[in-house]
Amino acid sequence: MDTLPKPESQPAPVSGERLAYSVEEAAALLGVNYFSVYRLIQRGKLKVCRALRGKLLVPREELLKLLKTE
Amino acid sequence: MKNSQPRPSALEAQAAADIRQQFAEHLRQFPVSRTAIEHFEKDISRLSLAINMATARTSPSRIRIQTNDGAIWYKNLDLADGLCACHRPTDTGTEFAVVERSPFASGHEVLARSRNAVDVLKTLAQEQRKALHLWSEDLSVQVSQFLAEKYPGQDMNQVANVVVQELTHSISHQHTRSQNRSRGIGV
Repeated sequence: MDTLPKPESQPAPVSGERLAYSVEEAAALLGVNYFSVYRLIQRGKLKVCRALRGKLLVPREELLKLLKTE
Repeated sequence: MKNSQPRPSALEAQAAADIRQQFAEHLRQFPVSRTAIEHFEKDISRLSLAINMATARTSPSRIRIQTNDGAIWYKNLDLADGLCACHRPTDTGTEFAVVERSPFASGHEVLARSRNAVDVLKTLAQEQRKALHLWSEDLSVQVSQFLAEKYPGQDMNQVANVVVQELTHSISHQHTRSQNRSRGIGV
């Protein structure tokens, strides 16, 4: 799986693809519940970054890496 | 029961309602996960007994699992979706493990291993508690950010704290409503 759907409500970045997703969006894209995503993050299986105020963001590349390597 | 909290203003009540609407899915999913963890924690003694009994039985039809590290395990029982307790004989005695089947591939990963069945279950519970804590922290940040954007210039910290605390303690309250003492379970 090489492409991820882009939520319509978000502004498109320059590249045309989102660079990162919230946990909620990541859960929807992966087809799992929120807790599964937080477990992946907590175990270091899904690397995240933090937005300015500290909100967790899942880089698109990490989602793709998870799907390819898990 | 005496309530020391001041009555919320109309604006604070509206902000609380906005939070509940904006984060409805969090509010739905978080208690479900928390309940599952609490039930699992309460069940550790019974589960460890079941694991030890299953280990003592050697059935020719027992399920064999090879984990990503190459080790061979024998499945004892399912713990949750994709999670099972396993054991394997070694030169120095039986080793127990919690093994997870990846939801995204066919591999199996050892989440916890020990010579003691109780220990592997406790390790799993601790790992799940940490994930729940991470969730509550992230939600708290999101709620604060949401309120700061929706109500600029207003101090809504109290509203954010109350709603998040309601969420993170809701299950304990449900379980202890008939009791007057908290069990001190925190996330």
